[in-house]
Amino acid sequence: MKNIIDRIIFVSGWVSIAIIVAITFFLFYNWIPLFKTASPIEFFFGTLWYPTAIPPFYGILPLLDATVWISFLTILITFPSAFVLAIFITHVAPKRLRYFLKIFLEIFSSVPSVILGLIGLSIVAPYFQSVLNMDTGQNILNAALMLSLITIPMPTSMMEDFISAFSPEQKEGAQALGANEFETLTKVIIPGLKGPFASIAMLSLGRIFGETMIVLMVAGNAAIFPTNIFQPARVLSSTIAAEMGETPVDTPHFYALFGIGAVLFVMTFLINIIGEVIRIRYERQMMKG
Amino acid sequence: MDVDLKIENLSVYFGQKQILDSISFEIPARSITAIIGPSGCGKSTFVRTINRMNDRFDDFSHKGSIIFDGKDVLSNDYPVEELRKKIGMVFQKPNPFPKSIYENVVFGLKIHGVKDRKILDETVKSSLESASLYDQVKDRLSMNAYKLSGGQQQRLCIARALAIKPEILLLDEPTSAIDPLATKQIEEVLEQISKEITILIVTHNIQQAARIADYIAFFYMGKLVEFSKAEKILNAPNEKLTDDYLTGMYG
Repeated sequence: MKNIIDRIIFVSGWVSIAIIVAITFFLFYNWIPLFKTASPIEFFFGTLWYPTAIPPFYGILPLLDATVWISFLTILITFPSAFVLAIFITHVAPKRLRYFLKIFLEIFSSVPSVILGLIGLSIVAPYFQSVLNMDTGQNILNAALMLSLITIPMPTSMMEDFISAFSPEQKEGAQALGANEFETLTKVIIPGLKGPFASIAMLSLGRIFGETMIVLMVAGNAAIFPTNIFQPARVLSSTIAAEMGETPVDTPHFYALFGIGAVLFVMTFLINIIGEVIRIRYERQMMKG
Repeated sequence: MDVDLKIENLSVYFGQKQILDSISFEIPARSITAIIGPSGCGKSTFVRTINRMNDRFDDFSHKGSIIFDGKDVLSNDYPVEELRKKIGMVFQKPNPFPKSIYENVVFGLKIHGVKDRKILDETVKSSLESASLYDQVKDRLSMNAYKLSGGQQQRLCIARALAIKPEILLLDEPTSAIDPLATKQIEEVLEQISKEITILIVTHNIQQAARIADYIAFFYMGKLVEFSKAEKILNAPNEKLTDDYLTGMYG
């Protein structure tokens, strides 16, 4: 029996690795033929994304630029909000409320992103346009706000876990020296959790990068270089979703979309690896004692 | 005999469960009092009640009082941060912060608002010297405390507690997680500092109590069976229960 279980685990482990390798191969395999039409330099550094124009332009730089804008604005909103929320749950909220907040967060994180896209489109965008007098309500800020709403629960829940599980010995050590609850939090717990928090930030960023639906719906989808957060933009992931359906197979446009997929894949992969490295480093540092 | 702490009829409960039952005795100043007794007799709970470490448990409650400087430390009027400034504590497992040696020692001072660099530097030196750790770490005060050995970490924790100049130091089985040689060093440190500070140490090790204690309190099932000078308890205890414990009948 144990033998069979061992074998199942062994096989499923290798299968999942094989699938990742296959995905990578598939992405790159469908990307490479693009270079017959457009050079890697045109692809990575081209400033125009007009794949259906004549002649077509396959430069992903504006998409990359918009991805960076939206992702960073989102993480700028998400991380501090998650941090404050996590501290609220662990240190401010009454014990009974804590439990419900935690459950609420977990439920909220499983709301399909298309619903937030809908809210961004039908409530936030008109509000931006009519009340705040923006040129368009479908812009970077709207996308970042909606993206933050869908992202916040995950880092909040993780931070909450880390803060609650923080070494009781160290907490008592600080309190025995006369530190109150707040000083224990700011001088021992938070400094002690720098590593995990950095790693949580990276994981959130990875999730934001890959999020497609919201940005597709509310960012306005203009493949231009934004100069401020009130302008529309188009990111890598939503470009694939928006265009793949109308793109004939085995055309340069088709290959270029796979190229975008490969770029996204590599970027998310790198971000996750950086997050993991930070986490492992931190753990090793803590183990030294 | 100076009295530093006066325990009056102290009973402690966690929920419905009674952990300590009407403990009364007086802890003499500037000496080492050891609390001995079998596991589960309430000795740890007792010391943790003195500096109110148990306050954070919702189901903790108590009766009776602990008088220190003429005031009941268990009353809600007594500010707990002030209390812990005067009554320090060292725990069973060394628990330095993942900061430098220097930052560990000055932690309490900074909490209490000391910012003067000169005072901090001097306190680091004197506290580490009292914990006989200074010579080993004087060249690497900025090193992470986690890189110290277990025994050194525990002495750092003693230095950290001494840095805020407590009048009483509570130690909850401070040597149970470290090796015999490091234990010996810590015992020497305690004997040294007991000239100025009142020490209350919980130990499950009767030999340790015999080596360092001036007074011994024997706890059994939440009750104080006997409190007296160490020689008296060890050589001619009044109670048969104490004698049985010391001769290894149980425990």
